[in-house]
Amino acid sequence: MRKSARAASAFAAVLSVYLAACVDPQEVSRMKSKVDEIQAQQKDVLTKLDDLAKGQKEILAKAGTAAARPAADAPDPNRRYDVSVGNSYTRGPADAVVTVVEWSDFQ
Amino acid sequence: MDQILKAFPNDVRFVFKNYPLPFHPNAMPAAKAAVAAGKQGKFWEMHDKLFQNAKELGPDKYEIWAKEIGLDIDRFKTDVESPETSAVITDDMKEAGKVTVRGTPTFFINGKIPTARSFELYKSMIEEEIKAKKKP
Repeated sequence: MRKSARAASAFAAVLSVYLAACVDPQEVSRMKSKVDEIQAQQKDVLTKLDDLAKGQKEILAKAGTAAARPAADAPDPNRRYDVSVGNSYTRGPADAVVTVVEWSDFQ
Repeated sequence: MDQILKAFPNDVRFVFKNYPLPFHPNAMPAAKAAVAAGKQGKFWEMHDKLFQNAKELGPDKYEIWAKEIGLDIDRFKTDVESPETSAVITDDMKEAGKVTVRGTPTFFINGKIPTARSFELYKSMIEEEIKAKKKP
């Protein structure tokens, strides 16, 4: 019986040390600052995610307008292109008022 | 194109430029055959042969047609392979790039690109050009 009583008191002593550690105001403030730090980091991560989402939106918007806008070198039906006859083979009168140039392949 | 030349025998001059599409394996050899025939003054004869037989183009055909239109075959063979012939075709293609040609056939009627491939449209555009030019 004595032995177990001594063990119990030893256990109580150890427990009290642990409990004391738990409510140790220093420890509490350390944990608090740790939590603050984690929250700050989380805020940082969220801001970075927001930035990424914004950047992605901008890229998508730009890609959208690029697709919607006709390419700069698309044929313009209202323009008169400067197409030279050069040394190309011609058919029909040389003094014709209309010149029709055809780019073609044979296949 | 024949249709247009027939419809406007006095008012239209037709110019052919090469644009052999890279995914048409017979297009470049055919273009070379036409240019080589042109060196003997028979471009249009070969051009017509090629168009009439567009579905049967092949490496063994060009010499047959060259004989049919009366070309000097040895000269034809040499001209087909000559860098000068290739240069004519690549020059045509370079010019095509400058004036936004993207596919074949692409027509320019006094420099204007029709919005559709239709004989009726070409005809009305040509008539308009003739009217504008013949105004006193």
